[in-house]
Amino acid sequence: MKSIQIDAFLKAHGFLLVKNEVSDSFGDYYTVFSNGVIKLRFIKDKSTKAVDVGSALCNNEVWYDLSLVKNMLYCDDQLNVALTFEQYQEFLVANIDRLNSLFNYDSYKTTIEKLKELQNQRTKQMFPWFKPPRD
Amino acid sequence: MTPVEQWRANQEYLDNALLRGDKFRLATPINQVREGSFYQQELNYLYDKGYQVSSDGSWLLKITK
Repeated sequence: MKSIQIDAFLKAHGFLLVKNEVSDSFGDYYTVFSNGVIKLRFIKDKSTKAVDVGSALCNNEVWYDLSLVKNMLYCDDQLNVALTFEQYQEFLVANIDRLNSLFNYDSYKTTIEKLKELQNQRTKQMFPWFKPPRD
Repeated sequence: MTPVEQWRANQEYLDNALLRGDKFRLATPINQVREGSFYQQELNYLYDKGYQVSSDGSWLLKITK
């Protein structure tokens, strides 16, 4: 799906453009859309293009890789697999209603706890050498 | 720049910092690193050079044996 189409898709689902920043280096950018429940961040960082999701109900800048939401919904334990930008967009388009449910007022805290746990599991898979700090 | 050229530029920057014995501040926590990103590549490169994440998760420090 091309960016113009994803823009149209998001607008049709009540999202508004919140932020659009373009860097001078490497053509990097990030664009944020929100519908009041979910916020979505489209990123290009050097050669990586990705989509992050966050709760619009939390007044913070905390983001979760949308691929982790995919892992969560599909109960996929293989967390260290990179999605292409097209796969991110396809997942987003196919699951926009589920995303709204996951991040609505009743669910967002539980969803975020699960995503934090998946982040830690993914770190173990990506960096077997990493020794997490002890509590 | 191609991704290979970008990585070479990054690597040169890191190698110079290694020669100076620098420590590295982690701008993004390690649990938010994306698979396939340059950041992942940088962390693995520095680990191979003897660095480890500090106990508070904020720095990459040279481990002295």
